[in-house]
Amino acid sequence: MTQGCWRQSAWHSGYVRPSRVIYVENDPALRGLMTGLLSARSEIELVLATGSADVALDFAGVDSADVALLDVALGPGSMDGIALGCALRERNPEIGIVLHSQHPLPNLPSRVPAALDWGWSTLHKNAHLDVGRLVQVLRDTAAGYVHRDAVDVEESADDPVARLSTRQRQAMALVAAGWDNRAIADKLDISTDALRQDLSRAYRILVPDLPEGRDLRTTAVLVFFRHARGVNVDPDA
Amino acid sequence: MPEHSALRLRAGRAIGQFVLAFFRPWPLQPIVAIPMVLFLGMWSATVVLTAAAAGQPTPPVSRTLVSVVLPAGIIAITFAIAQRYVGDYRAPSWPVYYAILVATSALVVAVRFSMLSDSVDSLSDVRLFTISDVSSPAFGFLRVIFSLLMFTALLGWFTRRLSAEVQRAEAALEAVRAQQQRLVEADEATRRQVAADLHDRIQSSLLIVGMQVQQIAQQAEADTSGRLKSITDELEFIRGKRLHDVIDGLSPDYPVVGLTGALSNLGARYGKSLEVDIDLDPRAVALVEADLVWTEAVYRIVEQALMNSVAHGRAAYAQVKLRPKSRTLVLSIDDDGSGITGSTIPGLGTAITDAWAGRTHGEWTRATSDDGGASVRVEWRTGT
Repeated sequence: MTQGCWRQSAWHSGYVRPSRVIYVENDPALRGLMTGLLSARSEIELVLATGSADVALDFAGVDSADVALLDVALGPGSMDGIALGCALRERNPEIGIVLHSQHPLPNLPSRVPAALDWGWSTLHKNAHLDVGRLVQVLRDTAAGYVHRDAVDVEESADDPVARLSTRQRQAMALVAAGWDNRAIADKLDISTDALRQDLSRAYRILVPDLPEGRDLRTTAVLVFFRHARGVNVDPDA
Repeated sequence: MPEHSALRLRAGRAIGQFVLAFFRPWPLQPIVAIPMVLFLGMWSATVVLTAAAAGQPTPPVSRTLVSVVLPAGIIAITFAIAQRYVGDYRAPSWPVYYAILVATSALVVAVRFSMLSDSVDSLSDVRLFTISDVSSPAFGFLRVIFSLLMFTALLGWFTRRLSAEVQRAEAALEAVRAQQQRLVEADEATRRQVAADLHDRIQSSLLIVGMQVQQIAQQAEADTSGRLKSITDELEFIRGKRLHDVIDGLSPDYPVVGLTGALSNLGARYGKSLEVDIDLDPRAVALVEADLVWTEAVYRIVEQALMNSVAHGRAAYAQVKLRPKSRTLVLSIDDDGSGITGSTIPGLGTAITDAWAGRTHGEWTRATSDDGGASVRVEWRTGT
């Protein structure tokens, strides 16, 4: 979700100067990984990657930076990313701020003064990082746009395992234990065709909407594990 | 025998100290009360004896009533005035104390002379202050002084002992409260530390592992890639939902999510078991969020109240309100459960609420509302 604009960006005017990015992340492993990904993009010029808010504030290149990608929690004793964003804005009123947070932030924290909230985006940390999208958010925010990450991790209150039949549950328990179909059929004393039908129905219950590129059986087993905690899934039961 | 002399000296000094302490000025409260009580007694005796002397079987009810109510009222008013102006009934100086003692004794004797005739006196059973020889009022006067002195001294002595006990009990209570607050502070610090560790180490590590797996998935064969992506999805679910909920439950990141966000997340965790309506006045939120301890207090008090709503009240709905109200800030948590029953025993939740309210100088109450549900209310003075 991207909205609003406060000034015409260099990108949209056709001039493709890379966006100068300051990156602050106190986790060195994540910082290294992200630095590698961002440095490989021609649209980005990573002018500073650091784990320290103080280093970022003292950095001479703040005045000419386009956007700052800031971790929110910068470790004990340090100012957090929100305070750092406000401080960077004091130094460079045109710098865009992207908060990179473990927390889903559908709204900007109330600590950010309303007068500063243009060009201030939130991005939820996620293993399914789409670098192209990250670059776009950085460049849009540098241009004054606002991006908010929707809350993307929701859990259904429904328990799909409860809707499985006893035999489907036994079959899924054996699949989860690594058994192949023939062994499961023998164990349950049914034909392999009947087992396939049972598993197919169980998969549809466990994974009603399979995301693109995922393996159905693996996803079903993981969903089964997730919901079967504390439930008796002993195939002999 | 110097040892014996020293012993005698020490014993004499101890007795002297005891006598001085025993007869020292005590608060005026007993001196004021005693003549009043005597007045009550003598008036009643007068009424009864006068009636007996006149050959009446029973004294008139109205006079007896007046003789009881009037002195009782005077005593109550005297105590109220003393409480208002003298405060904690501090003892006067020696001269003032004994001057009052003599004056009240004179008052008692005067009342005695004016109220009882010889004929009535001969029938009196109230002998303590009876002036047996009316021709020798000085002796009677001394008796009254001595009696009053002993009475007030004994009362004062016992009052002091009682007061010391009360002070010790209050000090012990204060110590328990201080310990309770230190425990709550330590608990909060531990929660914050564990939450920070989970966030900074475990959650971040899972994120990095997920990103690495995702990178491998992008380069792998379709079949392997699909499996790896499924695994990454689950890792993300564990990191982003399960672990996040645990961290949030331990210690919300108030500076980031704010009080409103923290309470909304808390309410959402109850899911279908309890519908929680969060209604916070923005001015009140801004006031509370300016102080992290106050923010923590509001969160923990609401957390305890909601837990009780579900565990004890079997409530299905709860409303949380935070409102400024005439120089106070009022937090209320009302539910539609079974309310506070007579058998409800204050437990850990009550102690935690008490500690957090005390830590932030708030006053809290819990009661059954008119609708029958439980109602927890906390008030903080804001001065604005």
